[in-house]
Amino acid sequence: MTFPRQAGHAASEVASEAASEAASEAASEAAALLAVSGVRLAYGGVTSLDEVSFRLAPGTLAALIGPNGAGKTSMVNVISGVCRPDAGTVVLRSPDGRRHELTGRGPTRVSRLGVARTFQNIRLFGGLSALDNVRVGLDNRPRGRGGAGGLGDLAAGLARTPAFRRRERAADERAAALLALVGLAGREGASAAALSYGERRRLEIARALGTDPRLLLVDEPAAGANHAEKQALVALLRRINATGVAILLIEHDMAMVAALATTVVVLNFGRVIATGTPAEIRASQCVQDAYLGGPVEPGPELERPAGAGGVARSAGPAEVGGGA
Amino acid sequence: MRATVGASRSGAAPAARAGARAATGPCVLGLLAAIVTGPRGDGDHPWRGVERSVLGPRIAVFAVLVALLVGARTPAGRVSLAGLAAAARRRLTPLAPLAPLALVPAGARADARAPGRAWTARRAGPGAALVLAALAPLAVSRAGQQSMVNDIGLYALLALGLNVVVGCAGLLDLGYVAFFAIGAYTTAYVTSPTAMPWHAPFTVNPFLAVPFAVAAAALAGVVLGGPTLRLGGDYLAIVTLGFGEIVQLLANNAGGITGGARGVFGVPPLSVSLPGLHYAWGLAPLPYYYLLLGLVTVVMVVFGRLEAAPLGRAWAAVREDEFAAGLTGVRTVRAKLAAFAIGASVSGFAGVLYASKQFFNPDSFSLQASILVLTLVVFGGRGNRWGVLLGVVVLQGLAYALRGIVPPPDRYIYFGAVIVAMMALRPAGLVPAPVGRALPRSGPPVVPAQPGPAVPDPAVTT
Repeated sequence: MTFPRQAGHAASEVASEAASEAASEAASEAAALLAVSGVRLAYGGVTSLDEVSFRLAPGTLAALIGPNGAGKTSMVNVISGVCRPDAGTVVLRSPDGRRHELTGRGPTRVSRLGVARTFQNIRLFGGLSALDNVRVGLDNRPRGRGGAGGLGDLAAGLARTPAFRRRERAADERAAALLALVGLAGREGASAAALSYGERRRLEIARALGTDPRLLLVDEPAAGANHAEKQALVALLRRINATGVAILLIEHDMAMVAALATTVVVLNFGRVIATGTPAEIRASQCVQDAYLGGPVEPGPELERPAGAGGVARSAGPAEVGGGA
Repeated sequence: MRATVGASRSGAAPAARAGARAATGPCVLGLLAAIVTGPRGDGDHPWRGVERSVLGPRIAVFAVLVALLVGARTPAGRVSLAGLAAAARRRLTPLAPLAPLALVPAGARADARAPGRAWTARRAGPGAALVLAALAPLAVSRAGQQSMVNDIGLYALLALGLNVVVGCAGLLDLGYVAFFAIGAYTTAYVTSPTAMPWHAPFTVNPFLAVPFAVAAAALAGVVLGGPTLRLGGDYLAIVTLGFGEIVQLLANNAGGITGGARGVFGVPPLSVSLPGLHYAWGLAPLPYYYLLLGLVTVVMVVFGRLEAAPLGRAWAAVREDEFAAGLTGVRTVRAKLAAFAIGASVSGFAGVLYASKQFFNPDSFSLQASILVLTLVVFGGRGNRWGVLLGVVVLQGLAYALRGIVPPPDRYIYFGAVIVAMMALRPAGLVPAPVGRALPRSGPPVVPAQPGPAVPDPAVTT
């Protein structure tokens, strides 16, 4: 743990030393909540993601950082099902141990499997009240987890059966509780479009939490926020993480990342150039070069990223938050 | 610049000035429409057209409408209207029937805050509106009653159905009347052996034709919507436009099946035959009116419940941001198909009633009819079924009131002018859709307002 783990190596902390590389690989994949492996995405001639691989442990709080245009939002789009990668897989593991291939599923399915996200450019249901924004998330949880759908539920809604009313009331209360969690208590009836910028950012988080996620992708939540708002946001993300929701934070602000994340994945030009704890990442020459400009070659303490060298590529992807 | 200076001096004046400025365009347009549609001058009296138009009742009606809209738009007007409605809600003053029509959103919000009296408050407004609607035809002539059946009742059904598609789900459907046609022709097919060249091997009572017509229209909606609802809004509008044209052209040209341009004649009137009870809807408008009133009431209740159910919120989410809706787990294509099929069903249902009025021909299902229904929805307030109902009453009532003054072909010039005025003054329609519920039905939640301990919920920690 003294150096950023290198992207091309499966540095699993779970595996015993005696275990073979392959066995540790399998074990860490089985333990991972999300495994991104070899994802490649190109828009026309521009390669946005190139052989990106990393893993997220259940309940982790990780950050995905990188300069502008590094492919962070593309990565979020691939995970959330908006973009279909040209190559590679994204696998989500449900608590019962089942593997769910997310690539090519489409956003609705991915959301129902337990991956929620917010947007870099806020996208709320502007004409709906804050409460109803969260209710849309709550309504569309999978059926087994309190969601509604299907003709039976439609009929129950038309007949307003006691069970339907009970469920509606419970969902309303849950929505109000989520609004209170993000600091929007008392704003339930305001239309989303009428909220302030910071409130809209937090409403997006509440709506995402409404879908009952196991992994929350937060795309630049602190954009445009002042210092106090950032601190509140850090506290909020910690609280959400404490309830067991794994978070992948996409962020520019290194101070915020350092305060929050246990592990950081650094992207540059669509490649993972480093993975490690915030302290390790800060010390990394390679990351500093990527952010501030510098020698094109990675720093001395790092090999070339996976795929770049072509020959020296070993088996597995980097492990993120493996010990969490 | 002037407005800014004014704002610093007083609050109300600049708002009124802005309102007046916004009203100028529609006023000029209305004036133009009045002149263009009015009596023409001639060589001896070149100004007669202008004089008659400006001084005649047409422009007066239009001016009153504009004045009302401007008045309702200023803060003072809004306050007085709200006060009026609140007073009407509190005690049953003679104004009570106005409250549900004018300010349902305000009423709904009041209900959310006072759960104790919610039941009576929620039902008093609509109940009063129903009583008013039941008594209204008794005060008008027989011709007025006919108009209330053909122009208001039927179009209320159509507009409420289209409101689900356009208002709730935000899908622009320009061929909505096609489903109306499908309902009408299906009714002719199953109820009469002589009305069309084609007929079913059986004949049923028009009431029993309802399931056939509704199923046919809903099926057509799903068949049309299935492939096209994956497209974005503009493409959908063009596809539905084409669909509407295809249906009308088919009806017109497939003479061997539909009877073509001659139309369909002789669909039996609606009737009920039960042991000990026989009743047939004849030519008198009043029984038809009450039947329609009952159906509109049922549709209002059903759609009210749908809008408050998860499906209604899914529609609203798709309307507001389809991309984000999909990422929030909404099955967007399914929700849009449901809106399309439900809207088409209501249209097909209206088609049964239309067909059972003895005669119709393909002209009734023109693009202009589709646009008229869309106009009614937009005028009344997309997404607010009470607003849509009010829009139908106001706009179609206006058309009836002006029937002797404005020749029918010119009517659409007025509709156009009214729409332009509405878009300038009240873009969301006469009664804009409410924002949504404010608080959980059980009252305000007892949770700390500021960052407190995390909400313990086992569902999250799965």
